[in-house]
Amino acid sequence: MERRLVLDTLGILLLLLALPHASGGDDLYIAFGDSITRSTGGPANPHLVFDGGACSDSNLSECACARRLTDDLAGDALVVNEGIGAERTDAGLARLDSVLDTHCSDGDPGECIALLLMEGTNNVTQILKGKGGYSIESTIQDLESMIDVAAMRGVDVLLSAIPQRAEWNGCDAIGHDETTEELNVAIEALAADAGRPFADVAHDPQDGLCDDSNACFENHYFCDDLHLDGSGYNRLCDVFLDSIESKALPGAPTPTAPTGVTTMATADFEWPELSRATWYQLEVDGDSSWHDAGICSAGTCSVAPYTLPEGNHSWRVRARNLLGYGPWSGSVDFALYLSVPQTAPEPLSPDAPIFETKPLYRWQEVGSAETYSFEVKDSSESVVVTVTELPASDFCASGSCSYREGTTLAVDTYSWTILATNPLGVGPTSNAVGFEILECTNDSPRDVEALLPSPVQGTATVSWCGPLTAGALGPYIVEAAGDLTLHSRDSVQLLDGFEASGRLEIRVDR
Amino acid sequence: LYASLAFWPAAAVDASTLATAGATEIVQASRSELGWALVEHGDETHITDRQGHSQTLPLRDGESLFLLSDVAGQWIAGGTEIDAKGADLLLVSGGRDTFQRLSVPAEAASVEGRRQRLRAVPLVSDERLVGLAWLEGAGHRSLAVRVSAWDGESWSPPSTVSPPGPGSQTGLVGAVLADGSWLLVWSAFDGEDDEVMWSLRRENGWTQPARVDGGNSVQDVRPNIIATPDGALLAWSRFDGTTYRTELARFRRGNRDSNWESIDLPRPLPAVEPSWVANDRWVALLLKTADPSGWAVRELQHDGTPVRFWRADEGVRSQPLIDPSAARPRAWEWFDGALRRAVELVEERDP
Repeated sequence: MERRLVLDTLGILLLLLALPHASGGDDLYIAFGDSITRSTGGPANPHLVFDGGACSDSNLSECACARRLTDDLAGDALVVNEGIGAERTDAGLARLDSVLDTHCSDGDPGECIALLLMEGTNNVTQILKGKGGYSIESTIQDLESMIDVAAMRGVDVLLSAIPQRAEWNGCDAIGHDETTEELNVAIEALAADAGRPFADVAHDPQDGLCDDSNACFENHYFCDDLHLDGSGYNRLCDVFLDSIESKALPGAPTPTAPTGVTTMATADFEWPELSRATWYQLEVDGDSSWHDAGICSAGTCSVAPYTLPEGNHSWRVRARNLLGYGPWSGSVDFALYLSVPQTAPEPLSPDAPIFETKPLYRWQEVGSAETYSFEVKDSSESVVVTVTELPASDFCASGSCSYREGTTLAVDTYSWTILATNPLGVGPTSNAVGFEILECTNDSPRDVEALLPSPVQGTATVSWCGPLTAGALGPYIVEAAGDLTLHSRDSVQLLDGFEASGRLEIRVDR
Repeated sequence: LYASLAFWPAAAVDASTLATAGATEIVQASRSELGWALVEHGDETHITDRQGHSQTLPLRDGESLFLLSDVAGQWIAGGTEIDAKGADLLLVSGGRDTFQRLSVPAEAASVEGRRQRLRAVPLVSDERLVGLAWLEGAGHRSLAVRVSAWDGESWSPPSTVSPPGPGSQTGLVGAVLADGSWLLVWSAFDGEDDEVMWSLRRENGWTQPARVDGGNSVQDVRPNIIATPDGALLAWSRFDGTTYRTELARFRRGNRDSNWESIDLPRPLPAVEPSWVANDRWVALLLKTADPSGWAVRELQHDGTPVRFWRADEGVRSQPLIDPSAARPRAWEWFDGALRRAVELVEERDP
């Protein structure tokens, strides 16, 4: 195997000082593994923990790694230690979800940035002895599943090799190095397949941690035959941070689809893959979802399906890696429609005599409509009003739409029709509905019954006209007459363009 | 510790054992009135019984034991011996204060390269050793499942139950059923994920290895088995997409297509390392739980029907030992080199 330094691990850190990251609170990094992560296996340096919590009464130079993992984050990030001594990968996988539950809030997947995963050391002897039912493959499956479990929460994973043990006891005495090496090769391949950084803490020929002949850390990095001492952890931190410093935040993705109008029932979101991205955050109409770089193939990232209601939408995307977030892409608008409107809108009102000369037109909303258009003809079949492209989003709510047109109509009989349109085409035109503009003669309100639809029950509009002076503004009083019962009424509403009249919505039945 | 380590023989220290410094690993015989248990603590292995009597076993460097059975009031343990040449089978037996090494089947002359014979699984019937199963091959990714019969004086020529597959075969366990047939179960990597496999020795030989629970794309690992009056119970760990949970199946002899019957557990906790302890009244399935971290005991009837569920109190640090003489499962903890205290098992009602 090529001996090289490919370290991207623990660190995450130094660049967080210099590079912007989007989340507002503490970014959290979880060091997850066994006693080497826990750092309690070395009695000579029992204070060594990645979170630095036990460093206060110790020689800071001895736990410089812990200090750097915290101090270098400038208070904006935390590294928590979730190492458990003696743990093997199956137990680690079994508890990972609850660990993420504890540290990462469900509502903000960006809070937990990465899992620093170094586990498998305790599998190796099991494999060698045939004890416990572990294998290289099952170990890799467990680590791969940990990546998946973390991915479900938008948490990245930095994979680490497991350390080769110290040479005190003879590296090849029981073939330990060979199996460790085999597992480390498999972990590195897993990292490559998953597009995750890999920290090769087992090899560092450049700085003499070990040499190519025996692949062992030098003794002074260990407090026993496996656990690192202060200088060992510090060295580990060096390679982590070195690799971090060579990385950078991803750039802004460029959305390519959907844009404009799409007729798909589901929208496929696509953008070109970014080289330094391990995660993408897709935001559609303000709702976020997280997707790892595995959604990208042949240079294109794609998220589907994404079921959306018909209508206008917008989306944007940004990338993230272990260092944090890149900038958002520009927001892209698109319209999603399945077909042209299939049905005609049903006109609701006006459909009866009214005093208003600027009627309020009401109709039922239809599916797939982006805009509505209507026209009004007078008794001579001349078009007196034409309105086009009324946006459904502006004039419709709860299944009905309304629009008050500004043209003053003369006393006459009229009919009006309406149709729906969307970017795919024009839907059918409604049946014509007639209404009459009554002349205002300053008499009493029209008989309610005459204005009510049949049967006389439900909501109707009472219109009247009459003298309007300052003193006569109100309250107008609506009383039920005959065998009509008045159930409810709105406040009196004076109508624009109909100064000498009033209009009231009431609910009556006989 | 630096000083003491410096005097340890070069090959004596197992790195992973030290990585688990302070941890105690326990294997209890699944059926033993005396409650035999192997306790590996640090670099020592002890044999203990339910009365707390303990013997430190005189194991040599590179020897480790992790499978244990009761044989007429004595114990027999299997494991692996690792030396510079590779790995070989280890089979020992003894009583409260006795210890002896037993012979193992002859090594196949055809195995080339580094010798690898791992995980000696004693097969016991009617309180006597009747056979041994193990894993064998040139490397740990190419192990076959092998078996040999013991007639009281010598081992039969080894035969192959399952040749090397597309990936590692691991976690071999076995049981001799009430009708005398031998049942072996192990996990095997099929190129995508691990599956739990099984084979039964019939009059005309071993059945073709088959999956216990069909194929899937998730890990099915670390099976553990116990013989019951009408067959056997099998527990293993399956990754469900979020965590490992325990699967349970019942084995009955008969139509091969319906040998295994899945049993639903009402409380599928995140857990690993299922192990069995049973007597004539109950079967206890011991689980290492992940959330919360600790130990739990599921009491079953012999046909696998769930009865009760207990959690060990949170203070328990190592695997509890189940007292097989009790009317209901009760447990003790190995602590600082001895059975120290009773483990409080708190019953929780199934949902």
